[in-house]
Parts: sequence; C-alpha cells; structure tokens
Amino acid sequence: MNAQTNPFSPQTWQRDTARTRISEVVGFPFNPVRVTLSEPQVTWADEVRARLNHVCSLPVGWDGYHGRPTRFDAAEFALRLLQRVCKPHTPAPFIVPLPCGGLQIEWHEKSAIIELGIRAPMEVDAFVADPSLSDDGEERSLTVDFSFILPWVHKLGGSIENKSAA
Amino acid sequence: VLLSWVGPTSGAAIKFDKAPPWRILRVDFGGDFGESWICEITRLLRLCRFQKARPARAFVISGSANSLHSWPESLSDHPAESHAMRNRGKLRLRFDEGLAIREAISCAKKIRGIHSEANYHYISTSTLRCAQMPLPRPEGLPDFENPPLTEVVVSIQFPGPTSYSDVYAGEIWSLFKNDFPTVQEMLPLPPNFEVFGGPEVPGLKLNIGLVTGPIRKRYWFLSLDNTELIQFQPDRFIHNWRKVKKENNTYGHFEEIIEKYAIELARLDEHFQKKSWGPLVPNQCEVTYVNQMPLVDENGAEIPLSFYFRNIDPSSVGAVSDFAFNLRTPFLDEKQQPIGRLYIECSTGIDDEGKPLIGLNLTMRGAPAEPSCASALKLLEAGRTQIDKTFVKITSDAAHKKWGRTK
Repeated sequence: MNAQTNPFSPQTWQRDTARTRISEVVGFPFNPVRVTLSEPQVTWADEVRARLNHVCSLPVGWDGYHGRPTRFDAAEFALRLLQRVCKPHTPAPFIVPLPCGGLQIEWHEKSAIIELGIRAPMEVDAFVADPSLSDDGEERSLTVDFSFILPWVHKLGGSIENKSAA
Repeated sequence: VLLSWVGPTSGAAIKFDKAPPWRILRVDFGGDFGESWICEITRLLRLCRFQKARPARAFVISGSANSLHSWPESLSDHPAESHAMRNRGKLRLRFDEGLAIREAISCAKKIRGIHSEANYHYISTSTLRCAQMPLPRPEGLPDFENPPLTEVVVSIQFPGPTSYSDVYAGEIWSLFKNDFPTVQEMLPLPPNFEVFGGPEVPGLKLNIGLVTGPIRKRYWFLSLDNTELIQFQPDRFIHNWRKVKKENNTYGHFEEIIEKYAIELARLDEHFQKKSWGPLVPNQCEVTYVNQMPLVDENGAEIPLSFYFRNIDPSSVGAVSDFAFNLRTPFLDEKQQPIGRLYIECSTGIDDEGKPLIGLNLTMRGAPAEPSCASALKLLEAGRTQIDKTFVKITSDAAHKKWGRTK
C-alpha cells in the first residue's frame, strides 16, 4: 500500500473524506512494493478522462441553443460506471454531452451497440442491441446496478483482444 | 372527535437521564384520524412553518391504514412509535432546542384555534407538560461504556443548485450560527457514487481543475467546544461528532447525532426551497465511525495487534511492526439488491501524541431508496446498524471487555 491508497494518510483525508483531522490516525509510511508489469494498463482511461474533462468545460450554449456543460457530478458518476463495467482493454467509448448537463456514452461496434444516456447521477437510460440481429434491441432505466450491460460491454473487449492477437 | 395538544415545555414530568436536544409538540386526535388528517395536517405544517417552528420529523399514528398510506413522503412515521400508539391517532412534531418555548406554545395555540373553528373539543391547557421522547434505539445493538470511537460522521450528497454562489454561504451559516459560531474554509469534497457491475478498474480520477467555472468551497461550522461541526458545500451536508481530549467529552449515542442532523437537514432544506433551489434530493448518503485502539496500555505495556480482532492475527507471520487491511462488502436493500457498500479500513499508526495505535474506520455509503431526506435518514440509520454489527463481529471479546460492553 502506498500513501495514495492508505486511508489514514493526510492526502487521503484532504481529498476524499468528510472526516476531520482531529481523529485522524497518521499512518506509518508504507514503502510501496510495486511490480509495474502487474498493474493493468487501462487503455481507455486517458481518452475517457480527456473527453470527460472536455464536456465538463463546454461553454453554456455549446449546442447553439441553451445547452449546459456536463455537470461534474454526472461526469464523476460516468467514470464510476465505466470503472465497473469496462475491462482494462475495452475500447474507449464515444462520449457526447447532453444539453441538460448530462452526457451520453456510446459504443457502436460490430459486436454490440450500447448507448448509456446519463441525464444525472443515478438516472441512466440504457440501450443495447446486437447489430447482427434484426430486433429493436433492449432499453432499460438503470440507477446504480449496471450488471445488465456487463455482458454487452464485455463483448466489446473480445473484439479488441482479437485485434491485438492479429 | 376529541383533540388535545401538548406543547413543549422545559418541565420534567417524564424522567430521562439526559434531556434530548429536541422538544415535541404533540397533537392527539381522537376518533377516526383518517377522516380529518388531509386538511388538518397540511394546515398544521403550514402554520408551523409560518410560526418559524420547524417540524424536523413528524410521526403520525393512526388507526386508519389509509391515513398512514397517504402520509406525505417527506415525513416518516416511526415503526416503534407506530406500534406503541396504534389506534390512538397522534401527530407529533419535533422541534429543535433553539426554538423558543413561547414560540412553540404560540404555535400550539394557533393549532387549537384552527381546530376550534372546525368544531373540535379540547382538553384544557392544564394538559401542557413535558413531552420529550428520544428516538428509540434499535434492539440487538451493542453498548459500550468506553468505546474506542473518536468520530462519527453523517452525510448526504445531492445535486448542487446551479445558481448557488459562495456569497450565499453566509446565509447557510446563519441557519446554524447559534450553535456553530466558528467558520473554517476547506477544499471541496469530490462527488462520490457507489456503482455496481463488475470488478472496479482501479485508479481513475477526473481532473477537477479543468472543469469550467469556479471551485466551490467547503465550509466548516464549528461548535464552541469543537466537539461538533457541520460541513457544507453546495452538494454536501455533513455533521461530525468527535472526541476532543481537552473537552473530555464522551459519545452519547447515534440517536442524538441523527436527531440533530435531521433537524439541521430540515432547516437546510427549508432554506433551499426558500431560495428556489428546490428541495434537497439526496443521491448518496454516508455514515462513518472512526475508532482508535491504542497499542500500549495505561502503564506503557505493549498490547499485541491481535488483541483487538476476532479472527485476524497479524503475528501469525512473526513479529509485525505495521499492518493494514481494507474490506468492502455490498450493502443490500430489502429486495437484496445492492444499494451501497460497507467499507472497513484498518491500519496501524500513531495518534497526535505519537503513541502507536490501530485505526479502524467503518463507512457505509449508498443511495437512498427514495430521493428524499426522510429516505436518506432511514438509510443512515440502517447503515449505523450494519456498522455496529460489523464492528462487534470483527473485534474480539477481550477488546469488548476492555471497552466495557454492557449489551
């Protein structure tokens, strides 16, 4: 464990917790024992982070009307969602802002079409479809549990691995 | 139909070891409460607001299932109270200590006036008496005379109002200034959500510095003795209780903290609505217990790491100088669906005097069943229950004895 992940480090206290310093335990310094090769390379991370920062930084009226920039809490929620449904080598999704201050996450691949419209944290309209089938796909409203789209997202991961193998 | 009312006083007709920090205005309805509640309760609540009396939490108890069913969502009925008072038709409005008694009594008289117009009859004012009723503590929870608890945090997160500006922070402070006269400015907390799906891909953070617009501050409003504080930022509202050595303060119970928090939350909600920022719509809530367990006793003798834990013995691998562990477990709702997580974080460390100890933090964070303050408070209470039970499960009987476990 290093200082960044030690829950008792002052850095963590300042950044993430509602606790106060008065009862904080000062953790002994843990020397990080890291094997860099064992850490997963999250291939989609940089692109997603850059895109989220971009949609949060849009000016009001970015769509030519009254579109608002993506709210930070919606972007943070989107990131948490992606962390829970993507594998390290899942292709990076398209991320587009919604005028209401939300955002939409999309994958349009041969193996699956996935659209996640995040109107606000915990207000997600999910659409999934298999392009090889002629049905209309499936829509669901989701809040915090995204197990439903997990197998669909994992289909995307498979296609990337095949590309890598090739 | 018989109606009586009991205004809050500072009398001591009902004996409690420690006076709770709130008062109750109780209105008793006889007969079929279900027939009268629709117009009357609405009028009562409107009147209370007009009188600056804040109904922080209301219990309605009625013999009519319909009236319970139709009760406004923002006001929760308490099962224990409901059970005890079933068929007696009572409404209780709970007020905070800051409310002047005469205001409350004035409010009660107004309520009488309303009912008088409605041709109800009353018991005379001689029925005025103390009506302090603490929130009942759930059965089966442990009790310690000297728990290792050093801090308790209750918090809700909600979408911040888009038109909020830091210039309004003074207005928020004024809501709590009497009890929390000191202010400090802090960095804001980032939003946090518990999301479920597959295993988490670690280590991703957004760069908050790149986001358009100003970064709002987080404010600490501290009590005079520094033992309690309110933390406010546009999308968070937090209450901390903490042990302060020089104050030698002791932990009462969670019920005291959550009651205060409920009152503060109602006050904030009222202010948000007054400002047209809309009602508070909680999307996550969080309760944390921070424990510190010393690794040397009063005589300076070393306490082994394994002393405090039931099934964890770090010394099994030899002499261990430091250790840490983190556990996460899903927190399920009644339908066994995940709504949050319980975090258990443990690490060796030192206190502010440099003495070695073990820090053990238990946090429950999750989404309330409904986007309302009442639902958030329920989840906080459920989270506390889970934390208490987990604490007892992972800590040893010997440690319980040291902390003076009584239940």
